[in-house]
Amino acid sequence: MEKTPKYKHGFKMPENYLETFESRLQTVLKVELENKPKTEKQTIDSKVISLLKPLYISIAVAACLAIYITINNTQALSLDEIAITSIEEYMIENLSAFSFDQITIQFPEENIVDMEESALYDDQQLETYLLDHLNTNILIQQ
Amino acid sequence: MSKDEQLIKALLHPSKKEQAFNTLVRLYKERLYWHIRKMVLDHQDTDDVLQNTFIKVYKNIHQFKGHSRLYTWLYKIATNEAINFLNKRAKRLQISSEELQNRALENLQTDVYFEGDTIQYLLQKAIISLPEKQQLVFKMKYFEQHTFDELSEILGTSAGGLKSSYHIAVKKITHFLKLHETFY
Repeated sequence: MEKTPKYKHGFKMPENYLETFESRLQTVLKVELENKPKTEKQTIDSKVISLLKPLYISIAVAACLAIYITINNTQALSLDEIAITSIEEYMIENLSAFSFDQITIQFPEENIVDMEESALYDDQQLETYLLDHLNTNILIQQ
Repeated sequence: MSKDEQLIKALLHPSKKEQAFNTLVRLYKERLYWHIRKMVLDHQDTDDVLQNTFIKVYKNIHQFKGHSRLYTWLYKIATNEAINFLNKRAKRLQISSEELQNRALENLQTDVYFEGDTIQYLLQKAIISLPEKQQLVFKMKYFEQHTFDELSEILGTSAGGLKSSYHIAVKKITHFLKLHETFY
C-alpha cells in the first residue's frame, strides 16, 4: 500500500522521469548483461589460432633473431672497453648494495696476491697517482 | 499465494523473468527513487543509484531466500547502493563523508529539482548534522512513514534500538532548528 507522505521534503523529480525510466533501465541492463564475463563453456568453444601458420613462424623467428643480436652485441662489449672511471662510479654509487662479504667471495686469495704484486701497486705508479690527484693547497695550508 | 510470492516465483522462472522484472520495476521504482533521493540529494545521482539497484536485483534475484518481504529486500539493496555510491564518491574526491554531504547540501540551494522553502532546507541541514545511521532512521521514519518493525527488517537493527535512535534524532534536530531560527 502506498502511503501518502505526511511531511514534505522539498525534492522534486523531472517531468516524465518515471515514465521513461524503464526503457532507459532496459538499455543499461542489456549492456550490462552483454559485458558479463564468458562462461567456461564459451571459453572452451573459443577458436584456437594455429601457431603453425607461416606468418606466425616468421614473426617468431624475427623476434628470436632480434633478441640474439641484441644479446651478442651486449656480450661483445668487454671490460677493457668500459672506462675504468665508469666502473668506479658504478661501484661508489651502488656501494650500499654490496656487502664486503659478497665482494671478497668473488676474489680468491691467489687473485688478491696477484693484485698486490701487479704494476698497480708499483711504488712509482703510486707516487705518480698521488702527485696527479693531491690537492697541494691543503698541504700548503697545513 | 500472495502477490509478492507470485512475483518472486515468476522472477525465478527463466521464461517469465523479463516480464516479472518489468512488473517489479513498475511497482517499486517510485518508492525506491524517493528513498535514494533523500540519501544522495541530487536527482542525477539518484537516477544512477536507482538503475544500479534494479540491475543488482535482476542479477541477484536467485539469492532472495524469502526470509523477508520483497520490498524490504529491495530497500536494503537500494540503501546499500546509495551508501556505496556516496562512499566511493567521497573516496574519489579524497574528502570525508561529512564534507561530501555538506557540498551536496550547498548544491541544493541552486538545484532546480529542489523546491523546498527555507525551513525544508534548514531541516536537511539539521539532518546531515546527525550521525549516518541516525540520518537514515530519521529520514525513513519521518518522511517515508515506515513502522519501526519495517525499519528493523530493512536496517537489521532491533525495533527498540531504532526507537531510541529516532527519539534522539528528533531531539537533536529540534535543538538545531531552534538554534538556527531566523525571525522575519
